[in-house]
Amino acid sequence: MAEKTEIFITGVGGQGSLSASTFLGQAATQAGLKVLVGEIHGMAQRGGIVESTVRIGNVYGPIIPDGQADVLVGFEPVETWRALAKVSPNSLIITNTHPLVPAGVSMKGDPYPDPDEVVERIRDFCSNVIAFDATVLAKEIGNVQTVNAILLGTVVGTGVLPIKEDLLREVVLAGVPPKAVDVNRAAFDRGVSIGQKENMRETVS
Amino acid sequence: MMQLLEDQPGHKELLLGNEGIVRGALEAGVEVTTAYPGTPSSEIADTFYGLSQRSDLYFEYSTNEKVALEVAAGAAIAGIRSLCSMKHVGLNVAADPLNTLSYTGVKAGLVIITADDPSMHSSQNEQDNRWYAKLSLLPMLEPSDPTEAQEVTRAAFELSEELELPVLLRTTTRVNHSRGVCTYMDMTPRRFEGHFEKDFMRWVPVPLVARGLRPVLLSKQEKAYEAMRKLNLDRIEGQGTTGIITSGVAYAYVKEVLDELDVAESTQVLKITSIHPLPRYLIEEMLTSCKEILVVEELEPYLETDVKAIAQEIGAQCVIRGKGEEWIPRMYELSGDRIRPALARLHDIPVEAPCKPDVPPLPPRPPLLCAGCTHRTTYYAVKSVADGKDTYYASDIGCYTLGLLPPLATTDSFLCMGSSVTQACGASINNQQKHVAFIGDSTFFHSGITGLVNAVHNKHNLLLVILDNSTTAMTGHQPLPASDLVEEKQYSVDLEQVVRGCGVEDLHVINPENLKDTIGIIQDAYNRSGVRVIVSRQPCPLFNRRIMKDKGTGITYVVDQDRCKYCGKTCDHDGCGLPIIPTDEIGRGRVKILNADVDPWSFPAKGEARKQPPAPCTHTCPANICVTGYIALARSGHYKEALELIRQSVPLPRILGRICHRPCEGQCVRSDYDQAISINGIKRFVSERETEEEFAAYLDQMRTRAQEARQDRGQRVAVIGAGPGGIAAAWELNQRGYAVTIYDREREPGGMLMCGLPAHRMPRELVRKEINGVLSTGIELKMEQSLGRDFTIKSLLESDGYEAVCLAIGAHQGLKLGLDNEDATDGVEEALRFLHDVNVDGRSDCGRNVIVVGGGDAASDAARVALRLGAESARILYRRSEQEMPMDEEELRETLDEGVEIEYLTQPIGLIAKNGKVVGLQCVRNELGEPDESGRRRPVAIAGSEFEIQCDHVIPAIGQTHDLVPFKEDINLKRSAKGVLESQPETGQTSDPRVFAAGDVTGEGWTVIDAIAQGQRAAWGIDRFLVGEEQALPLNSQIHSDIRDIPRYHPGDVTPGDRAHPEERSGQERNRDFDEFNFGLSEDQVLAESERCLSCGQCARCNNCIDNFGCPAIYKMNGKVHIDEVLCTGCGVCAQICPNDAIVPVEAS
Repeated sequence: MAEKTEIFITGVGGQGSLSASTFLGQAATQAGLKVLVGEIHGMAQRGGIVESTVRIGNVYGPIIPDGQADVLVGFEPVETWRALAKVSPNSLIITNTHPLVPAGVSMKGDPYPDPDEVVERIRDFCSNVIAFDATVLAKEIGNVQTVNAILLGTVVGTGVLPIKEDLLREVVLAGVPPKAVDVNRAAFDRGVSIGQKENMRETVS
Repeated sequence: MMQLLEDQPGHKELLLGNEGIVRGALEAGVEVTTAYPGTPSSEIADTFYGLSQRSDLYFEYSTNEKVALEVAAGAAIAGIRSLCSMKHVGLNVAADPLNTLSYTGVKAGLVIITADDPSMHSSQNEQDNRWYAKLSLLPMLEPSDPTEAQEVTRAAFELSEELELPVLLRTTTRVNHSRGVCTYMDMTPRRFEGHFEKDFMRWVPVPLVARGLRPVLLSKQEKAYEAMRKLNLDRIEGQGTTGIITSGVAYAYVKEVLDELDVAESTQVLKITSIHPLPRYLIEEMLTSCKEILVVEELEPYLETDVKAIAQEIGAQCVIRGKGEEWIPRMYELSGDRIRPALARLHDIPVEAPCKPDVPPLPPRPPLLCAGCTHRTTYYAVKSVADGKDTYYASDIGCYTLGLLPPLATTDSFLCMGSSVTQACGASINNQQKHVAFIGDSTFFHSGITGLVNAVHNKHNLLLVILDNSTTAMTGHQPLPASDLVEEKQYSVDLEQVVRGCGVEDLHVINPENLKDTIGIIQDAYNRSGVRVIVSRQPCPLFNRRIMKDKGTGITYVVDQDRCKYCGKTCDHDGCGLPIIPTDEIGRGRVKILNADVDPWSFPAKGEARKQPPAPCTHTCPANICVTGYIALARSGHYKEALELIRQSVPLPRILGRICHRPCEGQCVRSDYDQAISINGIKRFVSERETEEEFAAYLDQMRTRAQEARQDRGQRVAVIGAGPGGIAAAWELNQRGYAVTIYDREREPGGMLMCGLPAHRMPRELVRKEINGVLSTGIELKMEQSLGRDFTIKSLLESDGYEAVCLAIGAHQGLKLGLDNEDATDGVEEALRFLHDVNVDGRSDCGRNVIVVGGGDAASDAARVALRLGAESARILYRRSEQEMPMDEEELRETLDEGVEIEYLTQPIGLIAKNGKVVGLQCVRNELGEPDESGRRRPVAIAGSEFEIQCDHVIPAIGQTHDLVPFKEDINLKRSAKGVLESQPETGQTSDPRVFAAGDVTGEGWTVIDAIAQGQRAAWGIDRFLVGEEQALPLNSQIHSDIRDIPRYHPGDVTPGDRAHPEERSGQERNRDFDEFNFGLSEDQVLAESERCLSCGQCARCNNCIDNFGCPAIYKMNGKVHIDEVLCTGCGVCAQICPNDAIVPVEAS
């Protein structure tokens, strides 16, 4: 296990990315690990960019220096691309490919980057990318708000975290409203299997 | 959250820095907590609020920070441990009590949290509040992470009680909003033993007392220093002669970078938690043991200044570095990345930059007002009133500040809480602009009231809009004094009563989601002067959902793609393709809202399309030219595009600009207010604005387009007649790909434009330019070919290889008066003959006293030409009154101006001739009887009113017909009993399917615009005939024939303005020559005139919801507008503002 595991999470206000970092932090605490979680509230919400960090191990501050994130979890493809400086070519990137077009883009009539193209550009820098449409998947599972459970499941499924899958699942399910527990469990498990599969493929190749 | 209250020493919990502060305070036995929320401090308040609802802890959201501090201070002087939290700028508001509170001190512990925001993540400045400690002479502590936040808060209470002074606890965003593992300590029980001990010499700082308190405060500085030393919160780590002095979160970055550079062991780090007074003993130790010291702190050189001062005092030789371009940045928050170069340099270690990805500039994603936000609706309403007028928007601090971005752009300035009211007051002095101030309900209570009292008292001039969304939304939905959500121990303050209590008389309360009423009220208030207040009340939808547990309407909205981007025209492409003018969109939206008689929340019945109608002007125009569209383009200076839009409906725009009889102006809704828009004046302006080069380029483009279309069609079609109808038909056929030949009997093309209209009304060069332009796109012309003499329709179809014929021969045969000897009398000739002779053959003679009989254009033209040829007098006899006269108002005025006399209700009944030459007319006076089939009152001769008029030239101008003679030997085309050629109204197809009629010959199209429209329709008919309905191209820019019943929508308040009139030569100056006399509208006139347009009707190029409203739930993908089902709150406002009524409710899934 690495001395430090640093996770950078980025998304759009309203997607639940802050809950994701809190869940990771709580799970790490329960695992007895030293952890710091960094968030920015306020203006970052309301459809703006929301970034958070989870730093497990011997760290002091909440900010992950450029190139030092071990894992980048992106809730939106262009936001993943925007945060690319946080990772190195050896990091793991997990990104939702479902685009959220900012209002300014519609207004100016500008084209919005094509998600497939975005993933390709991300792969140019860092080959270890797990990319899929978590929003569509969440809708299929039954609740679009479960994108964060899917992505958390994916992260833990790859085995990159010093946290056990069962513990993280427990923390996530304890943190969602009672009526959403089942759908979040399904979402989390779906994410875990995606993460495991990608991880296997990585190991084989 | 509740476990924060539990006494579980040793328990470990991941806490937010702000929660760490709460836990620390609870462990210290805090009893009274107060706050005004503000990022990054809000969670302190919110956590205390939550705990206070389930325990005996007291918490209040105070109206502002000054109030919060005073309440906490009051508790603390009565012996109750208190805490007060705020964001950094909040301490400015509380600075007044703060700086005297240090004099009086406190009895029980009082901790004041000031949460600074380096990098201004959600603040208007990044002031460094450490200076407040020096200013107020109060102790200040600063933690570096959430774990320390808990510990330092506990220590702060201890210190405060020991010194009987309030203690400042300064944090920064990265401490407040980080989560770290905290270990719970023992809880101190809450005491609840408040009692105020009177002590005049302590609590009443009149000058006499304050002078005594001042030395006490100074003496406490030394005590504080000693007490803080004992707390042992500051420490030196590491060894060596290179030192770093740091504090707060910067300490964390220093530690990480030193580890990374592997110099942690060889660097001495002084970590300072005691910001004031500073731990001088440790600083001295550093100064004496180090050769070089770097001070690493965020924002101002606070530590650095003191370290340098101490070094000077003790004569230390050490080099001290701190702020500066090469070392530690003074602006924005620090990070490992930002301090690494300085630390590496300190140790002479080269650093390698990490491998950086090459990410291009990506579309920005600024925070926005949420989907369904009620502020957006208020802003939209204000903009739809104020757009295009010079308005200054003073805004304030809250969610609504996010209206600063386009499309709303309703924030022109702000400073601090409450500054909207007062800045607008100041800006309105000696200033003709309009002034609108926006303030949130919570901000109004915080700091708006005093400004409003000032505005009323000093008679300022502003419209203040209080955005009442029932909550403090920006900071996380905290309640406010006017909340409905009050607990038993609270009272809900009535906002309107407060406003009235400030002396405001002009007060209105609106529900912004009822846009129809809202816009009306705002419009009126906007136009008044003095202090006007509008309370726009509708709860924040997030607050409704999260706090009030509102389940929503169960309705969501979708875009009906058939109605979106629809203008009622038959072409099925995405409208005209011309630029979209946002002010025009919002204008059309306003017209629709103000005329809405439908409830946007109701479901439309199936099949009941609430389609918006086209504008009356466009609908009336025989060619359906998009009038409001080209006026909007002209208004925004897009003259070229305006002309392009006109040309999408018709060729020959310059000719129309001179001669159109303007049925559009007759329907103009503006005439319901004052006078119709000078629509044709604008058309003339934009068509003549085009340069020769632009015209040539346009023709090149159309020629290429026709050539390309020729690949698909290529069949030959003949057009008979080169008048406007024939030219339009040829143009349209050529554009559709047919090989067109025009036959005409005259020497020059133009038809009535050249033979009938005199040059002073229709300059010859202009006609030539327009028609030659059309012909140059690939149309063949055969002149001096007379139907019946040189060819027949039959010969064209059966021997010359044409597959269809368009018959557009016009009506050049004038009607006779029917008087005895009319044909045999010299000096009697009908107007068209007379005008043809003058116009085509250059005739220059005319009688001395000319009588013209008739009341239309030809009568006016003949009389005015007669004067120009030297007639001494020209008089028009018209059998009815002025009201029934077909000549339009403007033409009548021009005719009279030139000296033509008009005798109304006068009719000739006989010619008086001498030697076969006319010398006079016998006439009779008429009166008006019952209306005839034309709807006009019938003239009835008055018995015994006969009289004579002397004259030597009589010109009948009572109507015209087509020449029927040529048809005799030709194919048989059916005619009506009256002899009128029968043709289909839609296409002009005659009884022979190969022959289509257009213009005068149909008995319908008497005017140029009619003839043009009919020519184009005939071309469309020919296309359908030759390639079939499926293959035929739609008729460009014509409104669907099934759209009828066009309502006249009135947009409420209209700024009065008179119709513009072009400059012209005076009647006496112009009536002797054939030069043009009307110079058209100037650019300024065109702009003013287009401003008067009310933007009626719908538009296919509309983007209003995105360009002017900007709800994040509405987005555009592949050119189509969609609504995101997840984001849509079902508020239905977009359905109200959609000018095309294309947004419709559906049941949410």
